[in-house]
Amino acid sequence: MSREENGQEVIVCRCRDVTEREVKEAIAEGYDTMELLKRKTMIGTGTCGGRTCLPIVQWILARETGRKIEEIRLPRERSPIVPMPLKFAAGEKVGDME
Amino acid sequence: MIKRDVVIIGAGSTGLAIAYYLSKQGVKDVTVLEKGYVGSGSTGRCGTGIRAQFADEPTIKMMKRSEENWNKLGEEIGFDFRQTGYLYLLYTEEEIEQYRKMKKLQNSLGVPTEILSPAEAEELCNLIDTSEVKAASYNPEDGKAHPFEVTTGFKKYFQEGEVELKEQTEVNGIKLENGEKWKIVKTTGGNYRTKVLVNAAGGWARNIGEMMGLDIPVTPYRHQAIITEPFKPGRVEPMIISMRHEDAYLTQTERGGIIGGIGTPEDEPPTYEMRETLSFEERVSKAFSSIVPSLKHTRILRHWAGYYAMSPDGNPMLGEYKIPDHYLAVGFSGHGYMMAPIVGEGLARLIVDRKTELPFDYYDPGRIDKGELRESALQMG
Repeated sequence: MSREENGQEVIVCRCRDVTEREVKEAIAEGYDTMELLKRKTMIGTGTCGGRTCLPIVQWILARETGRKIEEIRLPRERSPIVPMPLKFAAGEKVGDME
Repeated sequence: MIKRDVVIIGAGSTGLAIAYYLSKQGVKDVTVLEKGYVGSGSTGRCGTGIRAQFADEPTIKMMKRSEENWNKLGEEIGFDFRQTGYLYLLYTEEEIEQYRKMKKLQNSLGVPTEILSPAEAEELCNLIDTSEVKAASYNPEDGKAHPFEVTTGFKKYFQEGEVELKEQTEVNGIKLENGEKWKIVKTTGGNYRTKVLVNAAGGWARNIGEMMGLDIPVTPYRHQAIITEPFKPGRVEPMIISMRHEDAYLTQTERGGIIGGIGTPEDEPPTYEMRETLSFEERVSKAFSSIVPSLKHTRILRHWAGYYAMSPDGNPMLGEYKIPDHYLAVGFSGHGYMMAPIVGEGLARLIVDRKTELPFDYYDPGRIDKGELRESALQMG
């Protein structure tokens, strides 16, 4: 018996609380690229910047659609690379980093 | 060759709304062609705001009706139009005078804008630094809607109905046949023959025009926006606008992040470049943390760019243009998303009944060629 049949939810995105079931449902509804899944389920939009969920979802998407993992393009990376407080972006000095 | 009654190029908010209202009017064979996916142009990149606080009568009238349609659409296709208001912060006597005049005009057209004291503005959002704010202009009927929910709502609605939506289908040529009666639209997904052709291609409207030998004066200017990490929803409900801070606009999404940007354009010529710039990140961060100081400590999660598809006078170009049954719904100059529901209804009427009670004369594309430019619609937010 799979985890889902067992009634267990598997979290694939910890920032946005997205489950494996939600991702699979979205794929079944036709959201079958990483860009579309990102907008539909919010995977990849949390504070980790997709470092946890994107490879997992990429793998689920490949498996669900019978594609090779290399064929699944990741969403475009956007600035900032790590979440940055507005005050730093506004030019406030970070101070003594040591 | 696929025969259709109406072909619409562009599945942004505009093209989708036109298709929706055409089907409401009983037009059966409607196809929407989209080179990416629904909303992949400027709709999905927009600041989400919807307002009727404008300075000219036609735009106020259009937006009053558009907000009514946003409500009905939300119920019918399943998204939330959140009427949390637009709050313009006013810092000088001059600004107050200008917004009082606008309020009077807006009130006379049924838009319930009020001029608030700084204390009243603070009641709407107590995170705003009101120390130098002298007054605020507020219309509680203005609001916001999540563009992806809107475009995918339309998509789902069409799947159950008769409108054909073709995503990942790029137009690469248009030929006219039998005089100018038939338009043959060549795409990566086959050729279409249609009598009525609608150009709703947003930032790419000019490229579509060129395929027909027309020069449609719409140019894409890059505008950028950010979203922050989420915090407790409900803290920044209205769309807050400040002329003092580069015409910045910001609001909180349902999920809790602050979304927004600045209205002053990048110092650059028209471009199809869609990358974000570091200089923008600095400007928007300065603006936001001056308006809402506690945002200083909030982290930016993402930053992206989209286009304002500018017409020569900053107003949309709506209606039949140069070739019989060839319609434009382009040049919204930053207001395409908020206007889409009324543009859709009006253009559907124009196509089916050849007339509409809406002020479409004001937006007639022919005005540009005649040199009858309108005053630019109020740009902020």
